[in-house]
Amino acid sequence: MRRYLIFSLGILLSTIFISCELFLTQPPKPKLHAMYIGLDYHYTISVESNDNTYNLSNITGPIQDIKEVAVAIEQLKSERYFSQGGSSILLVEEEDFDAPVQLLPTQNGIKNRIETYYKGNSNEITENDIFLLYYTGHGGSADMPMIVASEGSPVGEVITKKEITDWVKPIQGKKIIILDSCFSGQVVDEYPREPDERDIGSYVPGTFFLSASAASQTAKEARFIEIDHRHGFFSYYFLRAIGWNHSPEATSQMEIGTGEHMRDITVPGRIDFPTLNGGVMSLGDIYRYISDYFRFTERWITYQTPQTTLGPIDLILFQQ
Amino acid sequence: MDVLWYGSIPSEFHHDPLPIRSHLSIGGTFTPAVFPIGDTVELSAGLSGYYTTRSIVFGTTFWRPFMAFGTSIDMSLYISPSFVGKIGTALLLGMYLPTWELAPIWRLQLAGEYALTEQSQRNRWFVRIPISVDIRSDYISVFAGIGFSCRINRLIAKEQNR
Repeated sequence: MRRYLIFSLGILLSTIFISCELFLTQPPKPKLHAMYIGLDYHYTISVESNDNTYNLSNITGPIQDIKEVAVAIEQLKSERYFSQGGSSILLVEEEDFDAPVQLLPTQNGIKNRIETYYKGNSNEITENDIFLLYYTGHGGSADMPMIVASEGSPVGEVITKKEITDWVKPIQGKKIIILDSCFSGQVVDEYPREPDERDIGSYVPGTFFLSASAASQTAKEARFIEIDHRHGFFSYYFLRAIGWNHSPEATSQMEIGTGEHMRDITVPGRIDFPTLNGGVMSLGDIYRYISDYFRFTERWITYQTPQTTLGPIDLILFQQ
Repeated sequence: MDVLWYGSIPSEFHHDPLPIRSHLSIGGTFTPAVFPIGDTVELSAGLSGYYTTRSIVFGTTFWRPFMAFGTSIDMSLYISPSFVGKIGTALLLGMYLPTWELAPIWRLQLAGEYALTEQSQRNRWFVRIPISVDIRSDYISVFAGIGFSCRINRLIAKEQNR
């Protein structure tokens, strides 16, 4: 009997000792390469799709969304978790935009910028790094999750789900695509739980999505009385999830990007992290936080339901 | 009640950098009734519930925590008065906690139990070492650990006609 117990304990200890995470060296700190895109459709007033022209309403929430999200995430790029040097860019179309170089979020502009992440900086970007794309603006129901500006024309351009995923696919490292736009759930791939679903090949390992709404739902914005400015509901709760402080007493000033991309932004600073769970802020916990607020505070059961990549793997956005 | 090291083995399509992801799992099975088959074999059915923590963080990813509940069937073989070998299976419904996503799990389990108290006592305690496999449609997990079980003897008298 004693021999059996020793044998069982041996098996138990052997299995524990194959815990790779305990014995392998942790990868180096990731760099965060981020692209923030926001449009208020002040100049872009319509979009063409399948020979039809759709008028676009002016929305002011995305500009505040993207500026605050950009500063909040850039502040999270703490040296404790991220390796410094990750590039960032902010593309906006907004009313009274007076920067020396206007960085419009056009289709080719976005594509070219993404390409530079894996071509121009191929030595710099490793598989340990993270590429984040955060878009806030209009989305359409018919395979147009992003409606961006066009150079010199009031007619906007469409970026399809396939284009987004194809553009980011060659980037080494983990990819996070966050869309605060109507019908944005169309970008979130089904997790291929069954073997025959893996043959379709739409699931891209290492790419994580977070969308403001399901594929058939619109995404709402409003003026929030307590902070006295407009936000998309999704971005508002996203900012809260990552600890953004909307108090006017606390302010932050940051430069997003370098050189021609530089933007000075003054917005309130962060205070705490409600989604920090065991020293880690994961995309799944942020999704849970936003979903719970939509469900229990806004009482939106089927009105607007955020979506995220399912399956067992979760991505760490920040670690203490 | 078991405390287990839980190893998730990623499938090829996950493109995971590690061959196995390590979690901690805690849970147990409530077995309301045991049916003897002869002198040394017993059949039992019960309800199982387990909580599994997220895996140890490696790089920028980890595997999500989940809970699993379901029914189990075990067959016990009394090898000696103080030692029991068990083989069992369970059908569980797993739920990844951040996303509330449901996934069915088929569990196969082997366990050895060693009695800590005498057979004559009303409540009999065992130390147990379970070794199990969880089969999902997208990946497999193996786990092992240590646990304790308590058997509360309540004989149900059979009614007899006079």
